[in-house]
Amino acid sequence: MPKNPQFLITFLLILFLIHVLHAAPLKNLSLDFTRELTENEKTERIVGILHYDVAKWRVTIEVTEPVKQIMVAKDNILEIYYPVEKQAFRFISEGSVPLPLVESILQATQAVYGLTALMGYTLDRHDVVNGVIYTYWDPPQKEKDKLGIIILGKRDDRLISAEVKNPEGNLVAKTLYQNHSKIGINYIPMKVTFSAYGTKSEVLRYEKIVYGNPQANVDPPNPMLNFTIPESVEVKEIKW
Amino acid sequence: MKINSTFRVLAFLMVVLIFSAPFVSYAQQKPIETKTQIEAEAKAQAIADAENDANKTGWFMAGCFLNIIGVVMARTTKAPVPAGRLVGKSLTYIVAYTSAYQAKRTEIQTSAAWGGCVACVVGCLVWVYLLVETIDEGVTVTTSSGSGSGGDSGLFGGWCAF
Repeated sequence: MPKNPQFLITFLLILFLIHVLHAAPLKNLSLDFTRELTENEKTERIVGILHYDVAKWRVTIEVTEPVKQIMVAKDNILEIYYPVEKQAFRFISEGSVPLPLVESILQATQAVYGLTALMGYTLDRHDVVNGVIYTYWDPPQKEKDKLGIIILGKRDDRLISAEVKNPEGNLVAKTLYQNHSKIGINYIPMKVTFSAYGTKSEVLRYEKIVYGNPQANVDPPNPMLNFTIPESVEVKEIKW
Repeated sequence: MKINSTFRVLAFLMVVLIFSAPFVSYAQQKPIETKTQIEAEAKAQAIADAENDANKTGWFMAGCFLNIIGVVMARTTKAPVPAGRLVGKSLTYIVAYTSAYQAKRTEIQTSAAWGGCVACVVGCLVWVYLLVETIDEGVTVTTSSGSGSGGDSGLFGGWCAF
């Protein structure tokens, strides 16, 4: 028992504040990432920093290797800027642009991983095998000719695996989520491996993304979260 | 002794020159080759991705049910930018990839829609042909039997057969 009770109170207050901050909902997140993609017997490695503004659904990717590149994706606009070459592109799509590299984070921050709200899937059944809860999700009725079921594996409230099957019931993709880190109120996987399979169950594409140095709800927010292409740079606009 | 050392130096220089020549040539060619290679690689990847991503069945059905409207839609509808595939790619790669992807995707969609459209037209023609054949048979049966009731049954039988 410390002699000075004020010290103990201050220490407990700090602990409480740390807990409250960690339990706060995710507002913004910055992560270092390394992505290794193996396809057609070639492996490429991309290193950078990912910035995600949850409220604005805006993703900024700062690539440092193999090229210097800044990519901003929001709604139906994708901007790609090359700071060395001082060149930029703006792709304007009819629909919204899928936010790159944040699928696993998005899933973790959505109720039932966005399957119901974002994709219209419905829960069919569940199994428990070796402490892992497997839930089986049916695709929306109108998409059943194109999409198969999705099987999610969950252990200790953390998503650990996702299997996607085609309408014929063959495995087309499998994602493993590992090394979870509690950020805000969500468990974010720090290692994600993705395999896409062919018709003969051969691996067509293998992708490994390792995240590190998570910085959540930083105040003031990282300026890269609001990055805009410098006005002096001419932007080539492409209607997609 | 002096001649021998000069000879050695010259021989060494010759060896260096002989072996460095291909490297000099390679270094001169590399930037051009690399750009071409990147463009070729980007185009190949874009074509493969477009073939993988395009919903051929959907556009076939659109062509089948909407006919020329489906074809026009296939020609004008653009897919979302495959942003994940452009992360960490060079300027040259992105220029080559995006144009090839867009062109291939539109080509696949349009040809699938045309396929559906043609299939629908052919299906309709076959249906009309069979219908005419059935009616002809019905008329023949009616004429040969010479009675109204027989004609009705012939026509009805033809419809059933169809």
